[in-house]
Amino acid sequence: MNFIPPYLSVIQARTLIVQGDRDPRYPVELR
Amino acid sequence: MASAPSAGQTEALNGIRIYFETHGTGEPLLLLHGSRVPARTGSSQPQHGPKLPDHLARSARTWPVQHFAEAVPASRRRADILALLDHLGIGACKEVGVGAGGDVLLHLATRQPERIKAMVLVSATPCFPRQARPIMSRYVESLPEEQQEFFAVIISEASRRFGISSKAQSRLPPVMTI
Repeated sequence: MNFIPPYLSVIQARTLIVQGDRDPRYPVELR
Repeated sequence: MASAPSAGQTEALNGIRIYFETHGTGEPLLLLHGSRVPARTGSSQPQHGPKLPDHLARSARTWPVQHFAEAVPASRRRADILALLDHLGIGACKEVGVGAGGDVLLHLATRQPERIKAMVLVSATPCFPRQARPIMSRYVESLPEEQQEFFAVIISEASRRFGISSKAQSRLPPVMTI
């Protein structure tokens, strides 16, 4: 499932997103 | 919420066995680990870094199910977490999700936003962009041979237990295809 904006827009909680560059599958270039 | 009676417990919830740990008696914080991380804190805590928060609840589908979490739909794992929160008497709490645990948290946040006070998503993705798919398809091949065999076994077991469809299997990397 892709969380497109209409899905994500229901989230009201404060959210911290952490993405590191040592993840071999999802490096920070994949935003 | 009542104080935690012990650190590690296994309960039958939502039709499966769920292993979880509770620590401390402060404001609840739910930590959902990634799909390739052992559930027990004794084997997964970083050797260096901050101490565990005052209250920590970890959950995972009991081994070996936790290890093929990616083969179990995150929406199904969301229901597992809701069952665990209900079991613990936690209505809403702050939550941390790492990797696949973060994906479960995204499902929870979009379906039951009232259960989350705040959250941290670590290496979780709201979608898998086109650039990620070649990386994902090569991931298992990059592992040592014994780990590739391990993946093949657990994906086979996941298929048997959860009835993974042939369509879903076709999306798995070649070595993971049953």
